[in-house]
Amino acid sequence: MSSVRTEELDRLNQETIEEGNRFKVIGTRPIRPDGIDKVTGKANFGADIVLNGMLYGAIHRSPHAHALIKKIDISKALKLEGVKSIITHSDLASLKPTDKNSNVNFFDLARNVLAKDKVLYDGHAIVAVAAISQSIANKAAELIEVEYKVLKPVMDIKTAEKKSSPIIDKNIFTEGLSEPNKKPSNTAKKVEFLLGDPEKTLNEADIVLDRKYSTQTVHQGYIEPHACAASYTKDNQATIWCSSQGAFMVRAYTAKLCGLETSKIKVIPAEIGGGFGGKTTIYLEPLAVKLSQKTGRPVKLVMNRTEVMRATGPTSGGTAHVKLGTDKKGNFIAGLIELKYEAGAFAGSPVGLGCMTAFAPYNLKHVKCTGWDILVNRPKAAAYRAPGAPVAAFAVESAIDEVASILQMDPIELRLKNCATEGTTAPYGVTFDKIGHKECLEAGFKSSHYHKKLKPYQGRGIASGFWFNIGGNSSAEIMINEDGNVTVATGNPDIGGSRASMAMMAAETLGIGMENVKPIVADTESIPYSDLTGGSRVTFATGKAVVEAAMDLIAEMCRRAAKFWKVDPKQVEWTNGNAICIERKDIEPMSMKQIAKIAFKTGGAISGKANINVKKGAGPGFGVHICDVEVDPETGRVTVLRYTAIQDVGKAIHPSYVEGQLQGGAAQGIGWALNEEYVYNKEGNLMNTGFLDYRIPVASDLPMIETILVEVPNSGHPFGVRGVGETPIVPPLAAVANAVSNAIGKRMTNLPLNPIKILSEIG
Amino acid sequence: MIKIVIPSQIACNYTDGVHELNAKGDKLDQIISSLDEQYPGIKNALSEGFACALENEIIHDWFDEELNNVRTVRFIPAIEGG
Repeated sequence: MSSVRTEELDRLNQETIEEGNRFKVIGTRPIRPDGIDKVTGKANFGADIVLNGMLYGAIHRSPHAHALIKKIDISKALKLEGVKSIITHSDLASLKPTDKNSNVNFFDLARNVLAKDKVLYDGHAIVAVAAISQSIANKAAELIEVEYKVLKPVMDIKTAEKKSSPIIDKNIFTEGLSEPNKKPSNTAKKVEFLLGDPEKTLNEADIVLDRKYSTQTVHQGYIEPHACAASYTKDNQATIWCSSQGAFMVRAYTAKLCGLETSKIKVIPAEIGGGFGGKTTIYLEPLAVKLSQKTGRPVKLVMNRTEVMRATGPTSGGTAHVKLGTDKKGNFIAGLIELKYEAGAFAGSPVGLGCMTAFAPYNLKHVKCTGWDILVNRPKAAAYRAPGAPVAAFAVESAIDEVASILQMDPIELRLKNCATEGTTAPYGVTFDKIGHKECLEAGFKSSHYHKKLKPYQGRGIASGFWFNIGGNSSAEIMINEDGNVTVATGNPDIGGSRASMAMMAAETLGIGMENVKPIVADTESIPYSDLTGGSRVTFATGKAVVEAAMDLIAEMCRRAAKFWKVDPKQVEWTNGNAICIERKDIEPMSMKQIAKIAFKTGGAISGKANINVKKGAGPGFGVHICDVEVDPETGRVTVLRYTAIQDVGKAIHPSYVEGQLQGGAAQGIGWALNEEYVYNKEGNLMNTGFLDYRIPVASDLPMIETILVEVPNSGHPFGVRGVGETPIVPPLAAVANAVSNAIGKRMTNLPLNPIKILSEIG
Repeated sequence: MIKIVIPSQIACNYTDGVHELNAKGDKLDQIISSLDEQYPGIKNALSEGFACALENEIIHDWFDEELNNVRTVRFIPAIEGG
């Protein structure tokens, strides 16, 4: 296990870490390949695209949260000089409720990008306009007249569950009930995971902690708004330039909504200014394609911040009811949780994942996790780091903290006593291989932070978190250039440093320096299919593809060297970046630069490739966070004094990026815990649509987030990688809430912990 | 005999609410095909949106995975992420 603390990371420390590293490139901290372009403003993001003859788009959005569309009048807008085209839902492909696959319901997606018959949330897109300038497009959007029959909005779970409440979607019948629901309902689905006999076992517990919790809708808060440009040409081919987490996802979804064959669309990924899961779906791309198709000119659409907040997917607010039973010694014997998550206006909250993760960090033989997916008149929930897990962890980790308090036991000790280890079966049915939860808890207990003394109105909170991590489809190609340097192409947009990690894994495998590798993100016609960048899968799965592509390249380079040397290829091996003839000492080793020079003589350009579906081996991620806060008893303001994020990362390819992932997850989770929430008025209009009112933490709000990287290698990856991006947002909600609760001596169960709530508790 | 645990929404629609089923076979698609004979349509339903937990692994895009030493096959929601 190697340990890295950000605040202590002086040169000596770094050298020590790198000395203990059996790798030459992996584990070092080279300058990021995209760094200079980004800090000098030269990187091209979605909104930066400019094309010849380009038109500008704007969208008319609903002012109502729930209303029937009786009539749309576009006549005034069409008469405005400079307006070139206007589209509504009827311009999209005709889809049915059954048009869905395992990832997405296209019928819902089409109704989300442009409303059909009914608007379902404040800001729901209804009409899209293209014009010769942005100001004309905006004016035209204002001139659209829509006649509504306004309906009562259903804004929260409690209201949605009432039998007397309006039904948001008549196509929804609750799935998963023992008796099928014959009437439409705002409850889309029930899910349940059961291990053992928790209800009976709970009766045998010495202590039963029974507590209810709630959280609010929060947004990912990416800085770059959604943006795209599309060009549809007369040969019925479309090209899309956009910022997303998956160019192939954009291609597939847009094709379906536009009624095009997938191969007719080319998606060129732009740089992405944050996604965190929020850019794993589409909003603008089909509209830009359709407007371009109608006008014969390229069309660009860029959301402003208000549009992003009103109409793109936040993550679900939710409620949790936890029952945790323990014996007198603190052994967990049964756990039950009932989760209810807001899906937004279309079914599909991450409540199932919340259920699966809730008790996963612990060794419990009797568990029941029940989840309800509930429609409300808010934007459709989208993924947000570790979707579903933070809300569930907030509840379970808060309950554990309270049990520790009842038992007068150290909260880390209590978690160590019960933590999942190799051989533990999680409530969702998987038995863990080697995992690092225990190691993270031990690292936390040993940290100087954990033993720092606290003053009055200061409190410390601990929480653990878990995420599955996944593999999936990834493609990679490595090409040797004429000068012997290589280009590594993958199909995954770089949202968290993947170009650096791909280059480093390629360099390590090939035995060359990082400076000899140029990583690129290829478009959908330049690399085979790749699943989107998400789920903490890219460094693991795409990294595995890169390693396999490098091995393929090595095999070809050895064949070329053998051909040049006129020896049997079996006599050639690859060592430290050179082809070596193992049976002929008189033949000098040949470097990649030399092999590049003989490429044309020996058969042409050289490349290696791998197109794989990594079905297995994504080692689960566990983290432990420690948070110290101070509460001002007069104002209720919470100041985060110190924060340490500890995580089993398997093997950190580029430790700085990995630390950044932990720091970013912690910062977002702190915002979720303390400040962030969607505020709606009685009519269902979102009131805080900008970053002045929707308060994400900024640098001056937070201390330096300290990190401890625990490395328990994942045997499923050639370098031991585990995904790292999701797990760090799981513990902070509970870590902060536990810290605040301990500071004021009152249990805080409803997020966000704003000053009003805190003052009402401390009187 | 391998125990197969299916999600409640599949159980409600295909097996009269029975969550735990049993089947024989060496490969995953083999046992699911045999279940499909008993409960028509269940194979297609399990192919959409569900991953498969085989002892220590979650398998997406499940197909003909070997079931050596597997006692329980549990279908779970496909794992997504941010």
